[in-house]
Amino acid sequence: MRKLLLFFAVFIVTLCSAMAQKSITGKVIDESGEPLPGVSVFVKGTTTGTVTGIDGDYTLSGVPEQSTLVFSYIGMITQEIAITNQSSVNVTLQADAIGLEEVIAIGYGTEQRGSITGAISSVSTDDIQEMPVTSAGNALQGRAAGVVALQNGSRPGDGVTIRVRGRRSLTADNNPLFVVDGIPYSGNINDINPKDIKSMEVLKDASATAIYGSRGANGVILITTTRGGDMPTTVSYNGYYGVTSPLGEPTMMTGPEFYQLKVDGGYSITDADQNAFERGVSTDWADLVISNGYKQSHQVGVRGGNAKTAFAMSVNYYNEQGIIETQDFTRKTFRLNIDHKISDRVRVGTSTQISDKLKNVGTNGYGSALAASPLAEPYDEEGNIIYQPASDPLRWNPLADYVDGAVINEEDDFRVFANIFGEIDITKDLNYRMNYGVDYQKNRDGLFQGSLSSSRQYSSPRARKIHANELVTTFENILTYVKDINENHSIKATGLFSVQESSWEETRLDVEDLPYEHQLFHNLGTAETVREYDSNLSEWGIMSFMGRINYSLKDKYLLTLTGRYDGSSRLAEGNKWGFFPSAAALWKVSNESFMQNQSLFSDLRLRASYGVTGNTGIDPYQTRGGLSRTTYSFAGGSGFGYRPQDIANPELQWESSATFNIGVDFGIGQSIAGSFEIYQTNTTDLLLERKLPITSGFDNIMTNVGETQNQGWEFSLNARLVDKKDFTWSADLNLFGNTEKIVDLYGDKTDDVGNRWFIGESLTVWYDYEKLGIWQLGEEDAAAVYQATPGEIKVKDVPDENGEIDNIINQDDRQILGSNIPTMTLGLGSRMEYKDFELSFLLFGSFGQMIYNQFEVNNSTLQGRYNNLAVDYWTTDNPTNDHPKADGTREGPRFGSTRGYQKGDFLKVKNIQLGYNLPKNTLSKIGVKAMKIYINADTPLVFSRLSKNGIDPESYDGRIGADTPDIKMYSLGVNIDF
Amino acid sequence: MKKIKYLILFFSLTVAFMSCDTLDEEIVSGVTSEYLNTVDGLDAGVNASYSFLRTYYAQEGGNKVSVFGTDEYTHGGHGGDWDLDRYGAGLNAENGNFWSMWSNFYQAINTCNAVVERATASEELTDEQKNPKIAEARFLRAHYYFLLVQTFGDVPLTLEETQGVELEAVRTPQAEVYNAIIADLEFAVANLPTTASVFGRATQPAAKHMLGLVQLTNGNSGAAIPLFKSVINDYGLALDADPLARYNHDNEQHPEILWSVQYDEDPILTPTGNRSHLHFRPWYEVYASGLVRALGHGYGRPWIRYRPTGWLLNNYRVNGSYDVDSRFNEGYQQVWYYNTTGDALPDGAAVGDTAIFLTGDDLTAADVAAIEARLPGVIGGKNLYSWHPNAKGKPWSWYTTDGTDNNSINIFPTPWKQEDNKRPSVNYAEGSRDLIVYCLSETYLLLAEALLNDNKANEAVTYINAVRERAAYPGKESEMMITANDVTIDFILDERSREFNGEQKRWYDLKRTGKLIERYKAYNPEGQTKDYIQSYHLLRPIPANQITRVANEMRQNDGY
Repeated sequence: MRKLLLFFAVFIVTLCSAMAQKSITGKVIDESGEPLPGVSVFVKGTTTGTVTGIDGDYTLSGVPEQSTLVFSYIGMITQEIAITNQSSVNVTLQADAIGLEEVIAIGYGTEQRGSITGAISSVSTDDIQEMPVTSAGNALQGRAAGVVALQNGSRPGDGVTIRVRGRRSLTADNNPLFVVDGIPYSGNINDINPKDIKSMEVLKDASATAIYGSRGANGVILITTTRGGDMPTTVSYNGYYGVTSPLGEPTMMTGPEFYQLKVDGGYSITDADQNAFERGVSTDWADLVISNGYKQSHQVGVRGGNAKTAFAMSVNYYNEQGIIETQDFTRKTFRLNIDHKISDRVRVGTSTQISDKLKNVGTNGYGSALAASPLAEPYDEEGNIIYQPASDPLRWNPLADYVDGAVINEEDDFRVFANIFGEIDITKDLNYRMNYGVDYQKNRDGLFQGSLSSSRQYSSPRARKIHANELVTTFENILTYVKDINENHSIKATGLFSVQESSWEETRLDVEDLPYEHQLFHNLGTAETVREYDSNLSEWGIMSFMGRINYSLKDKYLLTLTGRYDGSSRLAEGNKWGFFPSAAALWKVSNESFMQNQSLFSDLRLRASYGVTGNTGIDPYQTRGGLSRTTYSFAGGSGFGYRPQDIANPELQWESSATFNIGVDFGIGQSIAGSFEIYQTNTTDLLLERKLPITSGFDNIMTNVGETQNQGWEFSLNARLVDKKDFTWSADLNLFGNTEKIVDLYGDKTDDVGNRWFIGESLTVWYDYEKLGIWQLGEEDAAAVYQATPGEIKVKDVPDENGEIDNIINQDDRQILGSNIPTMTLGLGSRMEYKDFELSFLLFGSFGQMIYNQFEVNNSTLQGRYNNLAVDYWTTDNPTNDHPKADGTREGPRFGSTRGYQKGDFLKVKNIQLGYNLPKNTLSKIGVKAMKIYINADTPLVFSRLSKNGIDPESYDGRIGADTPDIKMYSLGVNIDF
Repeated sequence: MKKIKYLILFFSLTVAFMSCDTLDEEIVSGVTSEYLNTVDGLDAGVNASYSFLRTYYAQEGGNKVSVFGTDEYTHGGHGGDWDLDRYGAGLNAENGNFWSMWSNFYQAINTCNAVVERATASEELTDEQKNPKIAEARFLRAHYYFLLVQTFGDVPLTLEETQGVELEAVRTPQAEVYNAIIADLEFAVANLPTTASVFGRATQPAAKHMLGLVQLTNGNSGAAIPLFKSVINDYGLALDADPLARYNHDNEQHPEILWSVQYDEDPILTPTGNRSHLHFRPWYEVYASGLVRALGHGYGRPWIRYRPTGWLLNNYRVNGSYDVDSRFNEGYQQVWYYNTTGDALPDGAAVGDTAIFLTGDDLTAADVAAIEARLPGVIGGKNLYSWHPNAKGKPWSWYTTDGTDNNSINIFPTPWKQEDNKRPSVNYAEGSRDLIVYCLSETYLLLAEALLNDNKANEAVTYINAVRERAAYPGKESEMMITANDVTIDFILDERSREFNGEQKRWYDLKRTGKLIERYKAYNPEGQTKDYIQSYHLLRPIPANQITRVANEMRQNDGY
């Protein structure tokens, strides 16, 4: 079949070339003499071409006399061979200095890496495909300098928070813009099947992002999906299956320890507690709600095409069972990419993805399991669930939600993301392209809580259903003009007109008193009581004009000028339009004649750029002010009303960021390439949700005030450390730091303590009392000044500006304790190949941040009501300074949060993979082109100060809630190409 | 070149076609501020002005600032904010309960201001049509300011709707705030209907009652007296023979009720309900096996926040007995019965038998033994307690003597008037009881207070006796009668406690009468054992959120 298709392809190619004259055969090898399959061979200036087979052999017929053959292959220097009268041409391709010729997406076009004027990080196919990443966002972690991609949580289907070069905005959106195959992609990139991704480019500086104008301030991530080509059809299967387990388990108190805590704190001990203690009951609730989970992914893809039509299609099934039994996630995606040439000048095509996600959010029994008394018992003697474990009737059995059908909480999201394009070469130099993209999303959230669930606790069943759908359409017209004026001058100009519109609708209904439970949320009409009903509509639009000119002088000096003029419906009348210009220059130093005599640098380029981008990341209708509905009743009748809630701000305009970037790209020899960047971004006219004195009746207003600054550096290095016939070893390092700073808020350089915003500090800081220790015996008098007694937390009474202490702990004693933003982030990936074996790993680290260990604070109330982490708490015999004394009279210790601020540095072994490529000779006998099997360890090791309770220190906002246990995974996978 | 012309034409057409409304923003599902100018909008604004009452009345935060730290109630075993009961270090500017009150009330006030201003400006409405609406808004505005000024002292006073961003706020002297409150209420008295079109709305007698209370609080008893007398005499109102009739959950429109905050059983109308039924309920379910939470009177969900002081319980005794004043035995749950069968029941006990028994009787050891013998599972000191002063030191003592004794922290008599038996399920939190803010018996007692201040004890005694007479068990009326010599401010406070305890009045009553510190120290176990309370505690701290958000300097109250 495969040969038939190949034959067919060749046949078509042959047909297309009208003036077939002769046939040429040959073999392509690399420097070490290994045959190179997949090398593209074509006749220069024609569409006649083929690719080499497994043994590096090729046969190309229809080659005109006096023509030139071009041999090209990724990572190799392209070779041109003039044909005179030979009929056999063997070629040895030389390895390219890494990356230089790689073509990468730059937004409304592509460019060779060596000619890029802006700051762009690129994540390659290998990096994305190698690991069993669960989402597109995951694939960015540790792979690109300046990009922080952190997991939002460990629930199946949880997304990733991505920040490019830190944050600029205090209250508007800081999410980068995602562009998939040219069309802006709103919201969650979890929908995108990572196996379909060919490459991801992160546009970072203003020159790179200015073409996205008003939407570029937070960086732009371009995602290019796999396309077909003029090639033999390849059918591939990729799959893995992995077992997930908790990173570690927290050490909670046992029954006797918890009993002792109650005694120490004077918390009332009920008969049931006493009885359970005497019987030696000690239930490990966390153990009961956690079990191993799994992740699996199966993908079948078909790629191929001929000279006229290329296609790539895939289906993927991804499924994850959480380690909390009631949580799972399933994603099915289907993709079809087609490119077709109607004629030499006219092309059409599509990129279409359909995805269907089902997320069982379930209930999270983890928190309540940790809180449940170890003196309580989950089951009676017959093994039935005890719904109110006797020790504390206020606590419902967390296992109640694990009973089949007790709780259903599922989110079903269906999405079609499709674009079609048409392209015409109007003249040889001028190209017009039209994109029309449709992004349709349908979300359905269904919630059912049965009568015996922990949320209802014998109340009537409750059900809620939310339907939402969103339609985003994008219409773009792009003109591209490319002209090599002469040897010295070349110009590339791009013009764009684009319109994007979004319409989002939602309907919700929330009821209780359902007559029977098995209906779940599918017969809400039978409910006797309605809790809430609502519907909503939100619309926005953006219109843009863009122009970009690339000018190259002698292939040494390159200049890019970009301007974009954007209008947004979300902003106020008269302020809707904004202009965002940028300029960038590139000097290819290594192309200068004076560089030809040195051998250190194979490549050296200097870049500088400056530009302005915008942010309109606020909700629609904020300029208008509005009323909100209020609820009241009179004698059982309705008393709904409306009250002023939002102040209109008719002045609202763009938030804009000006970025200055300097970069140097270098190549040393053929095997080391790297770049170093420094940048500064000043963001002004912040879209700020400013808190107001509530005495005006309003809590906040969205305004354009304030200024922030980001400064940072980025260093990346790619090296082929060893490049022998049987052994290759490469490593990619990226290291970067970003400092954010609030420059001004309201024009008077004063802090806004109410919002925890401080001039000169990062956008978010930890602001709280400082724990000094625990008041000890002997300090009674000093403690009494603060109404404290030995065993309570001692916090710092901060002196006022005159250096005086007022002996009162109040808001004046709060301090900036630290920032949740790391000062340095590290990603280090490495890949080794020895014969048929591959070994790769990825390290990821983050340093300098302070975290708030909410997990430890929340699970150490020391009240004696909820079970407690087995912490070192104060007693008269144990004068620790760690945790205070048990106190049954308080829900938590006074100043308890001060225990949570800790150093958050961590280094993670994100991934280790060992793969084996089965010998091709053996495989070809069974019709298989290539096959790799691998074992993979995901997050096998984490080094941090938090590891003792199995807590993952990774969290974008530095708040470690750990409300679902963090996980690691060991998996087995296979990739097969037919 | 021709092609380019076509292209330009195509572009222009596309632009023309697409740009029509892409950037227009039309609000469809929301409502803009202009709606409040319409006739319907004004009604909606008036309703919205009421809605904020539900952020304070019968909510945990509202109870904490008005019930805690008094002679009547102290903290139960659960819940936080005990420093509000203790006047401890946690009673500070960062305490969320004060912020909740402050922030909600100022949003309420701006809503009232919008109604007043826009109704006044309305050309669609005649004065006859608009004045009652304005009067309702001003009644409510006065109510919010009255609570604020009593709680915080000098507070920012704004009588106009906020336009644009206001970054500054200045504390207006109390006297000016009182003047504004009085002006609002005088307008309300003049323009409100004598009876409400729908129950729950402000009326003229309610406005007179509030104005009288404002005058009394402001030290102007002379002005208060005619107002109270008018409420009692001019509206055909009379005290019910049953002192507890107004708490009947099935008849929440009792004529004695002058004004109540409305809650309803429908969750659409009451997403956040009256939650006091949770807060006043003890943790009865752990004091005996065979006793569980259930639907039905007395078995509600316990949150164990507010526990009566021993003083409150003993305050109902007349000549040492609970058989004279009916308000205690009829008004409080003191006994729980077994309500589940099966293994849990103690041997010999049956459903319906007594499981927990709390009493004010002076029990001897023999009495306790007899009760234990009679009631299976009931054991002195386990689920049998006495709060009689003589019980102190005995195993069955209910007392907390030092504030940390666990005997009674989780088990105590609870007033039936807080109970909510109409909730659809055992753990449903959103109660539907109205919270009575002003009622006729309070008018009587406030009038007595004003008369006493005006040195008219002779006249005052008749109003106090009117309230006491109907509270007596039949045949015991004479034992309840007092004479003019008995009328003191302490007696009136005692009587108010018997009549209104736990109804979010007490802290303000004690403050108004200058008795807060004295009575708190005498009767609240926290006050008896700690000396945290200071004179500065008569004002609450201005919330830190206000002080940090305001652009100008804002003065904090002394001591915080």
